[in-house]
Amino acid sequence: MKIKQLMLQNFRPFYGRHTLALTTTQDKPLVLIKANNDVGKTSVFMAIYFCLYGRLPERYKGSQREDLAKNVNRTARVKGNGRTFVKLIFEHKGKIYDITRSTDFHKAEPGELPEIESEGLDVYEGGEPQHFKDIEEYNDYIEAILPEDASQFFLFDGEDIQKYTQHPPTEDVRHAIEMVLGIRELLNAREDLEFIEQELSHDLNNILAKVAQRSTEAKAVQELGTQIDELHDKNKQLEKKIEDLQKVVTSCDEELMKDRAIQEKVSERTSKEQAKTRTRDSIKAINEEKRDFNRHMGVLLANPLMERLSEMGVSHVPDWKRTAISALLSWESERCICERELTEEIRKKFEELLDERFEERPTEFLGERAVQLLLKTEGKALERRFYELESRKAGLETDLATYEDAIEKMNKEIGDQIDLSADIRGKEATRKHAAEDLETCKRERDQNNGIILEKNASLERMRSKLVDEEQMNKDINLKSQHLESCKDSKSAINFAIESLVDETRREVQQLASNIFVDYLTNNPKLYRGIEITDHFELKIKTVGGTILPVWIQAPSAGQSQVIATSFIAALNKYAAREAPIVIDTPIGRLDPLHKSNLIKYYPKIGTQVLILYQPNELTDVDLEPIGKFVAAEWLMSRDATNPDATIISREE
Amino acid sequence: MTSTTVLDEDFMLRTAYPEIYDELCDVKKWFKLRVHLFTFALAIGILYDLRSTKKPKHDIIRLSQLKDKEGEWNMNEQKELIDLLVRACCGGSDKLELGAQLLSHADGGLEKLYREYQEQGILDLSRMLEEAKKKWPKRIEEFLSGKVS
Repeated sequence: MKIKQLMLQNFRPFYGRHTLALTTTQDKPLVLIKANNDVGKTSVFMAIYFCLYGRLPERYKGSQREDLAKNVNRTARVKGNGRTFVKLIFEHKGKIYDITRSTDFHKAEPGELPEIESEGLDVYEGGEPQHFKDIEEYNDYIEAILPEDASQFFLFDGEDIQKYTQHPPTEDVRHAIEMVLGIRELLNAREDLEFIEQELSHDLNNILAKVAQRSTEAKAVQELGTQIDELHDKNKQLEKKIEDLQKVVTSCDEELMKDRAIQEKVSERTSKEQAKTRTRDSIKAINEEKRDFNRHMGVLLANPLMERLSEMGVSHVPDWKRTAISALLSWESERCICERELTEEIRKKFEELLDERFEERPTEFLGERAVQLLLKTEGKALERRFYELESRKAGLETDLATYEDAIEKMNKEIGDQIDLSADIRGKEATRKHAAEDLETCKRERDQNNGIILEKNASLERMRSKLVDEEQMNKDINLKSQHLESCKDSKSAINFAIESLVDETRREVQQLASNIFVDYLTNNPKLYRGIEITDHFELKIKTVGGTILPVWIQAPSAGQSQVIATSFIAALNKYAAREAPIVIDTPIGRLDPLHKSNLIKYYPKIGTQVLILYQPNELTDVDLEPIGKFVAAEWLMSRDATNPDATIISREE
Repeated sequence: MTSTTVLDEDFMLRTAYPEIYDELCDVKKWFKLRVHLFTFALAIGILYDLRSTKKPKHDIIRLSQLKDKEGEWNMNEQKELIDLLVRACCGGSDKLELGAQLLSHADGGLEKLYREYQEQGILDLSRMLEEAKKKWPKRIEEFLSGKVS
């Protein structure tokens, strides 16, 4: 990377637009930028850093580092709405890159920071605009050109680099060194491989766990399938049982219908037979009654005679009188009840009286006897009773004939069928049990069907989730192969790292020692060189043989600066990336010998070196030895009319 | 109540057809006592002026036994009916002759009953009563004219 041009507009002290041509050549690698303090040297340094990374270097801590509003020139911000930008044009690997960072701001009151409306980033590579979906993508893009962490060894303050000699390098510094030397890529690659190896192992373990899980799930699927098959088998048996039971029920229904029809007739016949029996009993009873009544048949038949006789009048001798006479005649006593003697003459008279009655007056006698008999027998009532009995008997005999006809008709229909109620009860019980069993079987079958549906759904879900075993084996083979490849690659990279780190460290160490002893130190007889440990700790080797870390050796500030400069110069020689070196405040507190040594070494420190200095650091006399290496020399001064504006001019 | 009868008290009612009495009273059970059938047959015999020529040799019951007693309260009624029928319908004053006429009429009536029974298979009492009602007026006049005369 070589900077060709830096353009500034309203950036910090630079009001309006300013352009610095910074192109260098192999013979003239130096660009000098001179300015008094607080005029804008550091702002140029900041502008380059800001344009590349979107913020200020780390040493500008706090909100200032990323607060875009502070980048806006004070004069510009009160003038009105406007834009500030930094454009950096550089060459890298044969291509021209053009990066512009811009910030649109609103007008601010004096002493106030402006409100930022928007910020922009425009990148062209070889004249083609580059598009980034987000800032991360841009960061990756610029990291490939010059990583921000590595920039500390290219863009630095001359006084600030002493930090590398004042304490062991931090993790960040070590990473930056490794990055500059190109070791970091290998380390990153190894870290990536370790990560990939872990991921692959993790994936492989996951797949193996899934294989085990799949085996369990496959077993569960098989068991579920078996359960479903068993339920199907059970339902087939149930269907057969249901069919058989249905036949039993249907058969029972048919037989019951027939039996009930027969039973109805049998019951009716039984009822008729019972009625017939009752009627016969009634006829028997009435026959008995008639038999009893028939003692009157003589009287009844003779009734017309008696009625006719009764119309003929009655005897003069009442019946009671004749009875009394008869009693007296049959009495053995010789005296009547009136104490009169019953003489033979009286007796004869009585007998004659009786005999003469029938002989002399037979019709009156018969009439009286008939009346007596009629009174006793109640002839009319007897006749009514007779006909009533006859009528009842005739009715019963008609009923009996009706029953017998009906029974005979039924006999023709149902033959000798007997009472089937016991059979019917038996068949009803059989049907009831069969129907209950049928319902139980149907219920069980329906329940099974419901369970089968649920289990089938579960089975489908489980099957759909069941990972393809073949694919799983392929994945295992693939992951195993990748893992082996990864391990092989890691071994190769480890070997490369061990070789490169050690070799590079030794080369950097050698070069830094040479630069330090041969060019920069003011006491080459005391120091034998610089030693760089595996962890990039800087140690000073003295002629006396001591080798101590720099921060323990505690050299002077100037000595520390040249040690650090030697180290940085050596790093840049072996840097994996070509980059410009921008040095702010290059001399600092160096003594004249160190300053002289350092100035002489600047042309060798890199292929492009931008030196930002103030007039007291480097005089024309100081710069005389490197004058032929200077490609351009710029002077920055404050605008006499505007204390917030810096003017840049090129010195010929 | 007792009353004097034209026949002697020890007169025995008899028949020439004990087998008919057996069949109609014991087998067919149409009459409880034989005397009931006897009086009925007697009324028929007198009504139709039927006289049997067969000699009645088989005893039925003696007149003196026809007395009301528990369960057979109308026995006296049978006796009085027999007496009335003998007095009204039998001629003569000789007791033996009257008795003979009585038994002859009774068996004569019995023969008619049995004949109809054999012909028809039943004893149609209703029809007999209806026919008697028609027959009696003329028969009664015959008796009365004879008695009066």
